[in-house]
Amino acid sequence: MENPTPFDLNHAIQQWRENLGQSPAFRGENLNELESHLCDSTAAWQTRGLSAEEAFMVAVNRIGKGGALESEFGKVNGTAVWLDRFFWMLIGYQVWALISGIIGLITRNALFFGLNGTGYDFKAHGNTLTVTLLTLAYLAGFACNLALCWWLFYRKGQRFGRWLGRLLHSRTTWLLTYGALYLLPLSILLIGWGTQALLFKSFSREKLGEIAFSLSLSSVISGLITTAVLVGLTLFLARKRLRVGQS
Amino acid sequence: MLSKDLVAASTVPLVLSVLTQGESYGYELIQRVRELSGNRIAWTEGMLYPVLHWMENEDLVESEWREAETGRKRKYYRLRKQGRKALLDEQQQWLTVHETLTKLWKTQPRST
Repeated sequence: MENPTPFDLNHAIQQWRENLGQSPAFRGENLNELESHLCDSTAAWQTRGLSAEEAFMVAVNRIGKGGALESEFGKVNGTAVWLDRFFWMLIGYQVWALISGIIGLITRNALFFGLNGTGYDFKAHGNTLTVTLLTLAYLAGFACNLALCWWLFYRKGQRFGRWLGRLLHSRTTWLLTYGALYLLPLSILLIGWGTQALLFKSFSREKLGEIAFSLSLSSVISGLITTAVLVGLTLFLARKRLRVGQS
Repeated sequence: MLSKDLVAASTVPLVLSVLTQGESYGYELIQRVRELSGNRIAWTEGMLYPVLHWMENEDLVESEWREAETGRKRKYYRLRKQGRKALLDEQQQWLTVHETLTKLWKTQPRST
């Protein structure tokens, strides 16, 4: 595409349709109907002397802005909108669980095996160091998770959705994705179980008691903080997104 | 130009009334109303479709995809029995408002 190409009406209409189609508020049939309207309207403006491009622009303008249409169609197609929300919730939950699983696994094992390797005396030093380090690691993982989810869904949401749609279109890639999504958390679970077994073998009973205590205390502390942040964030977004007086 | 609230309230009776003259599709309905109102009722065109779909859900109208003379497919809407009933109801209500306002505006001197 090195030269400016002449205006392609069909391409423009398809592009316009694809843009609208990103929203769950429109069902396939709605898009067909809107497209049929756009074609009628464009043709009518062309017979009044406008060029194809001008006619298209006027027709798009008259049909209404994407956001306004989306909210009106969303009211009629409520189920589809909620199904879409549920779908993103499921994806969000799995991404979240996967990342916190990986981060937890790495930090726990790095900390205990690392400290043990340096000859750290768990009994003599008490729990302050391990609890602090674990809590910090959990909070860092939480922050990473928030940042990643924000980036994935807020910044790259449309592109991510399109990519996922294409990936799941063919049966082979669908099966591969299913396998990967199933095996990834499973393998983390298995690795976690393996390292736990290793922990039991290589640490004395007393040390294991200290480790269990540090683990539970740090998860309580980080849980208090992350829950406060999550509840605050949820209510903040709810207040911003759910406008009063809209059914 | 009509206010946003009045546009919202009058869309259903307008559509029902146009459809009493025979089946029609979205673009044509909009043109017809625009023409009849002397360009004073101009909807944001896309907004008509959710209303039509709501009317279909309420059994006021029924629809059918058919090939038009242009070769493209179009969705045609037709009035149903329920729709005719709803139109009579709407007619009563709009006429009541209309008559009352007309009486008031004719008999009462404007307060300045």
